[in-house]
Amino acid sequence: MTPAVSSHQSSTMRPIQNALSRRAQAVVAGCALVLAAATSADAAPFRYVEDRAPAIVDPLFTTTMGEARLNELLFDGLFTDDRQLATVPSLAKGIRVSEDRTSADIDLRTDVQWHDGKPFTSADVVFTIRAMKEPKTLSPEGARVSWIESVEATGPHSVRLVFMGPQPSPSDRLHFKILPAHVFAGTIVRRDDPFHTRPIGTGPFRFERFETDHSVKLLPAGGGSRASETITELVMREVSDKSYQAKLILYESVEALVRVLPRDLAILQADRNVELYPYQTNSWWYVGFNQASKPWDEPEVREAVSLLIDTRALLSPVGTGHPVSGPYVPSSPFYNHDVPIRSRDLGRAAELLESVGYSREGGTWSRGGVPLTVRMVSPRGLESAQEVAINLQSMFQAVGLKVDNPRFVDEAEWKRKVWRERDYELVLSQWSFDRTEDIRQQFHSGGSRNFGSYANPEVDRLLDEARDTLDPQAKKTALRQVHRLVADDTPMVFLWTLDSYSAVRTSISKVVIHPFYFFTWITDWAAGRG
Amino acid sequence: MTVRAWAWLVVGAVVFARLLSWLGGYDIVADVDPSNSGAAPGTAAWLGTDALGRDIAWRMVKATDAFVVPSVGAALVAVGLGGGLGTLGGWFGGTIERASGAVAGLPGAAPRFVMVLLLATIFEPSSVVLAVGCGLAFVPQAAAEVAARLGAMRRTAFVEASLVHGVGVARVLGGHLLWTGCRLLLLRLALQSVAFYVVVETTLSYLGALGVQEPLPSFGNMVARGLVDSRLHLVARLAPPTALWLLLSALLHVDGVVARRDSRRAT
Amino acid sequence: MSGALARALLARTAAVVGGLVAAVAALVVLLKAAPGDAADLVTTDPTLRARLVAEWDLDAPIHEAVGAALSGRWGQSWTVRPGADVADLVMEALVQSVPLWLGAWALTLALGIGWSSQAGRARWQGWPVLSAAPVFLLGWAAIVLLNETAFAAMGAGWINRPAWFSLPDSTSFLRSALAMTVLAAGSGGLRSFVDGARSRLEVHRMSPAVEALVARGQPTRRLLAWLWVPDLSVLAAERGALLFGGLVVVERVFAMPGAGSLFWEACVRRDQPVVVASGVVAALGVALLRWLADMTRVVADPRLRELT
Repeated sequence: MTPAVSSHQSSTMRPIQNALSRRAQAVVAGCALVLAAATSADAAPFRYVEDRAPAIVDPLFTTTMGEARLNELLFDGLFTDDRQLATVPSLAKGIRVSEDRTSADIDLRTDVQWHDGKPFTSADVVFTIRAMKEPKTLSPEGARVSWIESVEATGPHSVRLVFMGPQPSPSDRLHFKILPAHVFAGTIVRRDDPFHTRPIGTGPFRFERFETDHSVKLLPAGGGSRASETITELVMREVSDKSYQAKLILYESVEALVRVLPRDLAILQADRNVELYPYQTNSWWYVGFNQASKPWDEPEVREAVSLLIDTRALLSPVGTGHPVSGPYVPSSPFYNHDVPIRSRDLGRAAELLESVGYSREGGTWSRGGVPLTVRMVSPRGLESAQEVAINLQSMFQAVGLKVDNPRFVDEAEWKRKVWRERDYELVLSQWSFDRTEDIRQQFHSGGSRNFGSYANPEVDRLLDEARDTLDPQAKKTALRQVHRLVADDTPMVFLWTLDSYSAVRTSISKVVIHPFYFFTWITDWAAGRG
Repeated sequence: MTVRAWAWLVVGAVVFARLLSWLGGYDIVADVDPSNSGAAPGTAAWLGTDALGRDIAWRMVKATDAFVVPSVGAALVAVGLGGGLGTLGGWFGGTIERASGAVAGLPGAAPRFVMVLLLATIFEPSSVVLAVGCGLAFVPQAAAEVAARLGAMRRTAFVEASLVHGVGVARVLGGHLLWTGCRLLLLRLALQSVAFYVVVETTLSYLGALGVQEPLPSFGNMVARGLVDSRLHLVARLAPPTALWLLLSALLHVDGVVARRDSRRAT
Repeated sequence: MSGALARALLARTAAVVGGLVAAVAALVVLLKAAPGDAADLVTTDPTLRARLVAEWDLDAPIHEAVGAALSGRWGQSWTVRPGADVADLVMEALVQSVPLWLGAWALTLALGIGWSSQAGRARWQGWPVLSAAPVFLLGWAAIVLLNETAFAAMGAGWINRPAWFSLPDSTSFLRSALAMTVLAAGSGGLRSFVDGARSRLEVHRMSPAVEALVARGQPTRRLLAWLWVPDLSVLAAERGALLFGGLVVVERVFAMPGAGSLFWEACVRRDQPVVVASGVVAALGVALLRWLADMTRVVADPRLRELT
């Protein structure tokens, strides 16, 4: 691998200079400067790290954020985000939505080519949507197009979509990546399709090869962007040791770190050659109750437990962030700023527990001789979850709850135990949302991710209203009301949204980071002196 | 100070720490104090504190809970199961020896670490699973070595004479053969399985948090956290791996001493 | 080949094959017992999950799964490299691991035999302390020491950026050599080999045959070597089998692709076909090593043929 441009330049030029005349030396020096400038200052490789190499490079089968980030480099969607996170056309030129908002005609760009040189056409859009909807494809991304009833090409560069129901803003939901129809045999796409070994997209970078060390090498796809002119190659490296990732950027072995661990912030801040970029994600931490198990079905007990938590003290060892009072981040338009953030109130917590028959005996809250016991489970792969869970355990024990040691389970076990079988009492985890911030699956009584068995008919009604309305203001009002109701019902204790930081070496300029996909605006980045 | 003396000192320190942990009253949950995270060594915390403000020295003392009993459990599995199968095979010989050897050899078909890793990922990683896995990993070796030694001793004249004179099989087997002839061998196997447990637990913790789970302290999770957390004081970071290193050196050395005695006895 | 030798070889081979079959069956049974499966990692949608369970045959009866595992019908990877042929994946990984394993094994044997054949005890009593450190700790220490030293020297302007910098990120001879050395020496493996070999050599030195040669003033080296070979073959086989497990650790610590890191990834990602295939290959490797050791012992020691 070509090392990054480093300050430790070799001194092989000196012996050559001594053997030449002065004029020749000047010419040689001038050429050398030009060469050095051309190769090192204006163009450079760009390397970034992921915890895990992509298992598959195919937007149909994406399951991890690492894969999603790589897709951002290789593929485009019909629409994308601008710097203000508003939807703008990408592969589409424009969209005309019918009056009843049940269908839309989309005009596509005519100047786009796939990385293999074939032209982008409406057949590609039709293929992509049909493949995602095809049950035999077994695509986990199928839900992204479940709202589309049918798609057909109305011309070589135009398509018509018919929706299942009225859509207030269909372009917001058309950010999924488009695939080349001409590479596939049909809409039934299997995981072993050769496409995943040789992906072809329309994105700013094209796939070059998989390396034996699981890194992925991409090359600029052309197109005249600043990135394609200054980045000679883009390499995704797999570095499973998160602590070593920070070292790599200090050692100039990589140019970017997608997410910096809180414990590495100080070291990276101190390095003049590294720039930290804060970004806000739509994610928040929570302690969730399983209301199908006792005593967590009692609202007084849940509220009391929520009042025993000192959120800021819990947050401080793991980083900086903002406490939240409900299921949105404070910067969200749906966040209800009138709902206060719950502070620790031991007196009120005691009143609540006593109101439902608990008493503090020998320092522990008990009812009928049975202590109020907290049994918490958390996903092992969630960064900082261990610190938070242990801190929380200590906090609870200090105020009289009996706390079993928290259990940390791997991803498969987490999904089985918590999501599928709902065999738990409390969970400590984090929810992350994309641009749509759709919390319906978490809080609607029929939601597929409502594993806490939360049910409130009024919340259901408001979530249905938010889903069906075509009026953005009405949607905002409904969801803010959901925020208030959910905060009152306490199916979860809402903790915080963490500040996230990326680290990028100063050799890369004009960096703007997408809070979810990271590389959405990489075409503006420049390597070298740019 | 000789290496041998250092080794016995370390073993003694572990025993002392175990007693202290049992008597000391340190509460791993109550010790959390994030406001005191990364503190330097001092009178309040002799080896400093970790990222959650917990006393490293006390956690190292408490970490003996995580390996002393489970590793002894591993040793019991190895010596009990492996030694038992080896005893059967060595005493009876023939078909029984082949059968017991085949059963004992099952866990040995896969490399030891691979087998324990599989168990840790299939079942929840816990000291019980690791202890059973590590014990099973030594069953083939224990069975083969005990069977070989017993088989050789079984054919000696004094054993034949004892049986002819009416000395019970149990006494001959237990007292004369196993105790006299195999106890050092069994001790070595126990020491090796203890060391293997410690290595496996720390390795699995470092590689993927598959060792003993927090908040229970273990050398594994302390090493895994401390090595990579630059917020901690250097002493706090290096104390657990240094202790681990010394412990394993001591176990290896004691194993060597026992091996030389056993070999002198055998000759 | 004499009848006794042939019978001995056959019996040993049958035992090894039987053990291999039983081990693979045990592996498949264990995996079936695992809570949580690969489908959980891909989706939580019940309909999609049901389809994946059907496609991946997660509910296949145990005897069918064992039969498929033993016959090499491993199918495709589920989650590590979805759709990739498992046999190809494992073979590619093996190609990358075998040189590392062979190098570490050769190093162990060379150092171990050389050290243990020295008369008397080793001069440096402190070296077991180094060998006692677990492989991951030795590897971590070596990487950090080299990286930090080089980085400080680069910062001070003493050296240019070395080609191997930074470990273990860049592929280099140093990384491979370091990985090999750590694998060979770590976790007390080298020390155990030396101790075992030396103790057996001491036993043979006191055997009547050797003592007779000494009494007659004749050289004992050839006889000792011949007596020592069966013991060394057993020790070498055991050490080789242990190194398979060490591969998992070393490849992770040194970020090297190979069968060890593939196995780790497959375990964590519940990729049953890859776990089974890797397990079968590892068991085959262990069986082959033990078979070779057995053959060597039986050929070298005629007494063992009579005991079969």
